[in-house]
Amino acid sequence: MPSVCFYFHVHQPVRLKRFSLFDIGREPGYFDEKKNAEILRKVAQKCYYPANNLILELIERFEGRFKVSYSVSGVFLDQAMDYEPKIIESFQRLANTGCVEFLSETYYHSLASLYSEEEFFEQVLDHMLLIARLFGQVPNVFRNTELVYFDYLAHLIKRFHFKAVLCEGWDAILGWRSPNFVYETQGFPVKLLLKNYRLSDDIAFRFSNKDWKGWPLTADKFANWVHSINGSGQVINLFMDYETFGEHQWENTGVFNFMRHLPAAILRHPDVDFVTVSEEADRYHPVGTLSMPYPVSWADTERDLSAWLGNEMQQATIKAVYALEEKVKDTRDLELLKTWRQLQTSDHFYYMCTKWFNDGDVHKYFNAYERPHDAYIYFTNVLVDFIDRVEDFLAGMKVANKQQEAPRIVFEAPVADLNIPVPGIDLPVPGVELPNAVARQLGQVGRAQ
Amino acid sequence: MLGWELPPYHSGGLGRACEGMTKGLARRGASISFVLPKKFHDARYEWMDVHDASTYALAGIDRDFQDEHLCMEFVMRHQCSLMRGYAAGPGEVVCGTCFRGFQSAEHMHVNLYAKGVMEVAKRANYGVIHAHDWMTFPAAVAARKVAAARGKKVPFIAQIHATEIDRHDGSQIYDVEKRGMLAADRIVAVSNYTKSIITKYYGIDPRKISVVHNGIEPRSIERFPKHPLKRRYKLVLFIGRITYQKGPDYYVRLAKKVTDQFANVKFLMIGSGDMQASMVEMAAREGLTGKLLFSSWISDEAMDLTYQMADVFVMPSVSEPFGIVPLEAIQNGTPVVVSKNSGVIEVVRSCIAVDFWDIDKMATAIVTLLKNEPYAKSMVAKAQEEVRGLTWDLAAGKLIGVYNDTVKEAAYA
Repeated sequence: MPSVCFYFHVHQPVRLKRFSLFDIGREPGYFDEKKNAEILRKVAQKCYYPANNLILELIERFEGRFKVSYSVSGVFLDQAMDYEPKIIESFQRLANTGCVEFLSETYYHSLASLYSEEEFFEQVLDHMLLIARLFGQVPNVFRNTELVYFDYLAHLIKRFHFKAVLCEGWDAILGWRSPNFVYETQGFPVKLLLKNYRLSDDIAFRFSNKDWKGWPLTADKFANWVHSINGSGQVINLFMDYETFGEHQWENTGVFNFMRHLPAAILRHPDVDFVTVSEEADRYHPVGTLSMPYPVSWADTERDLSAWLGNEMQQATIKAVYALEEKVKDTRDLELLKTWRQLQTSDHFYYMCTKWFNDGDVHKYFNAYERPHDAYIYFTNVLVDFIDRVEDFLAGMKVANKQQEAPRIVFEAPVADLNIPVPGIDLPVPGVELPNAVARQLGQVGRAQ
Repeated sequence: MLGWELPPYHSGGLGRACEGMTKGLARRGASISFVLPKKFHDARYEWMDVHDASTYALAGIDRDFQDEHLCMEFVMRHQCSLMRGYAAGPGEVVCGTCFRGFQSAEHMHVNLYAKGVMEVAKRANYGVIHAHDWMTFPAAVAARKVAAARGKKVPFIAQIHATEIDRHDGSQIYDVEKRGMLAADRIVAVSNYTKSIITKYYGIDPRKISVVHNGIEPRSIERFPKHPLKRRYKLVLFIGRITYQKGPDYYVRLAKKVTDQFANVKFLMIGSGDMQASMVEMAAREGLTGKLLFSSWISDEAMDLTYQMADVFVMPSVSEPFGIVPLEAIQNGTPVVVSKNSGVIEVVRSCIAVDFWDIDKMATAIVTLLKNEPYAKSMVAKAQEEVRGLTWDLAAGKLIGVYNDTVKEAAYA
C-alpha cells in the first residue's frame, strides 16, 4: 500500500541592497529591509496565508488522514518574526494539529555542508532550537539546502541521529531503480527519501503550462497517476517549494482548488494513505543502498551545484565568505556572526548564475538584480565592508586584551584525538545525544513520532 | 556647429569638449548655432543658440516615423549602438530600428540628423561649418550645399575627436569618416597623435590638418572627506567606458600584478560598457574578488569625490586621441599613469607615460607613486600647473585662427 508524502519547503532570502563601492564604510546595513519586508508580505498574502488555511482546512476535514511536512528556513522565520509575525502563528496552528511535521535544515539556507563542517553543525543546531522553540517539535528528518545530498553528508549529520534525509530521485543516480521506495545511505545508515520529481514537478512547474500534454491537471487525473503506482512502489514523495501555491502558480491557475480536492481523490483508493516524512521512515524498510559521491541537488536540468557554484564569480565569492570563518568566530560578536551567516544564504550565489538556457528563465524570475554581474559587484562590496568591520573589531579586541594583560592560553589538541572522518568509514564520533540534550534543555518537548 | 551631444546629456568626452569649446569661442566673440540630434527641454545653453534637429527632421513625417522620434531620444539617452559600450537596461529599447541591426540604425540616425541640419541651415546664416566626428559629417556636407545653393562658399571644418582606429570596432564607420575627411576643407585633430593616425590610416595630407588640443576649464574644486576605505587601503582608479579602446583588460592584469604583491592596495573600475561583464568574470577568475571593485555608474557630481579617493589614476587606453579624464584627476590632486598612445601626454609632461601593454612597467610606476608620496605630490603639483594653462580660451583662440585661414582659403579656391 503506497503512502503519499507531501513535503513543502518554505524560504525567503534576505536580499542585499544595491551596495555600491561608495557605500563601503558608510552604509550601516547590507540588507534591503524594505524590499525584503515587501516581498515577504506580498508572498504571505498570495501564498502563506491562503495555503496554510487550506492545509488546515484539509487536516481538519480528514481528521488525521491528511498530513504534510514542512522545512522552514531560519532566515524565513527571522523575517516573518520581524515583518509579519502572523505567519508564525499560522504555522503554529498547523503544528498544533499533530498532522504536521517540521524538518531540520541549515538555519541560513546555506551551502555550509560543502565548506565547513563546524559551521554546518552550528547552523543545523541553531535551526533545530528555533523550530523547537516555535513549534514544539525537535526535527527528526533532515533536508539539506536545495536538497543537496552527497555521501559524506550522512557523516556530517550523524551526531544528530536523524531518521532520514531527503534527496532528489534523480535518474542518473537511480538508474533502473525507482524513487518510490525508501533507500539507505552509503556508509552510515540513514534512510533516504527520494523526491518523485516527475509527479512533484507536474504540480510545481507544469501545473499551469498549457503546452503540456497533461494540462489541465485535475485532482482526479493526478490521483489516477498516483494510484497507478500501487503495486510497483511503496512511497510517493511529492517535494516542492511551498510558494508553488499562489506564487509560482498563481491563484487564478486553480492550484488551490486542485489542492483542495486532491486528498479526497487520492484517499478514494482504500490502499493509499498520507504520511509525514518520519512516519515514512519508520514504516518502510530500505530496499537498497544509494551512493552519491558527488553532490546532487533538486535544481535545474543538471541536478548539480551549477546554479550556485557554476561560474567563477560564484566560486570566488563563496570561497571568500567561508575564508572569513575563523576571524568572524574569533570576534565572538553575535551580530557579526549573524551577518556573516546571512551572507552564506545560497540565494546570493544563485543571483550570480550565468546559465541562460532552459533554466535561465527560472533564474531570471528569481533574480533580484538586472544582471548576475551586478549581484557579484554588490556582494563583493558588502564583503569588503564586512571584512573591514571584522578587522576593526579584532583590532579593538587586541587593544582591550593588552590592557588586561591576560595570560595567553595555548590549546594543543593531541593529534590522536582529532577525528578525521573518511567517507564510507564509520568513525566513532564523541558527542552528546544531541536531540535529547536539546529536548532536556527545552523542558518537556517531545519528538514528533 | 554640428555635434552629437552636450552636457548634461552626454556619454563621454565629446559632449564636454563641445561645451568647453563653444564657451571659449563665445567669449572670443564668435556667434554659434549648435545643432543637436535632440535637445532636451531642461537643458540651458545661454552662450549660444542650440537647435534640435529632430523637430525639423520629423516635421511633416507620417505616424510610421513616430517611433523614430522616440528613437532619437533613445539615441541621446542611451547612445544606442552609436556610443559603443553603452548598453541600455533591459526592456528599455523603444526603437525598432535599433533592434533590426546596428549598421542600418546608425546610418538611419545619421541621415535623419543630416535632414534636420539642412532645415536649420536653410533658416540660418553662417560663415563656417564646424562638425564634430563622423556622425555629423554627412550633415556638414549637406549644410555646405545649402550655402552653395545660396551662392555662398562656406568651408566645412571636420574636427576629429576619435577615429575608428581608436575604437577598433571594425565597422563601416571608417568609410564615413574617410569620406568626411576628404570632403572637408580643413581637419582639426585633438592631438598630434590623432593627426598621425589620420595621415597614416586615412591617407590625408598632413598639411590639411591643424592640431588644437582640448582644454579644461579651471575651476575651484570641493574637497571631500576621506573615504573610509582609505584607512586601510591605497586605491588605484580607472574611470571610463569599459570597452576595448580603454584597455580595461590590461587594467585587470595590472590589478592582479600589484595586489599579488601588496595586499593593501585596492583597484577600482568605474564605468560600464560591453566589456564590463567579461572584466567582472576575469576579476573573479584571477582571484581579485574584493581587490578589484566595480561600479557601473556615477553621477557627474560624484566624479570629483571619486578622483579624490584615488592615490593613483590609471588610463591604460589602447588608443586615446586626447584623454580628458587624466586632466580631471590632476585637477583633483591625483597623480596619473597614462598610456603612451594618448594625446594628453603632449600637453602634460608631469605624468608617467607607459605602453599600455607593458604591465610590469605600469605596475612599477603605480607602486612607485604609492610608496613615494613626496614624489607623487610634487609630480601632481607640477601637473596641476600645466593643467592650469590648458584653457579652452587658448584652444578657442587657435580655432578662430583656423576659421579665418580656412575662410580665406575657401575664397581663393
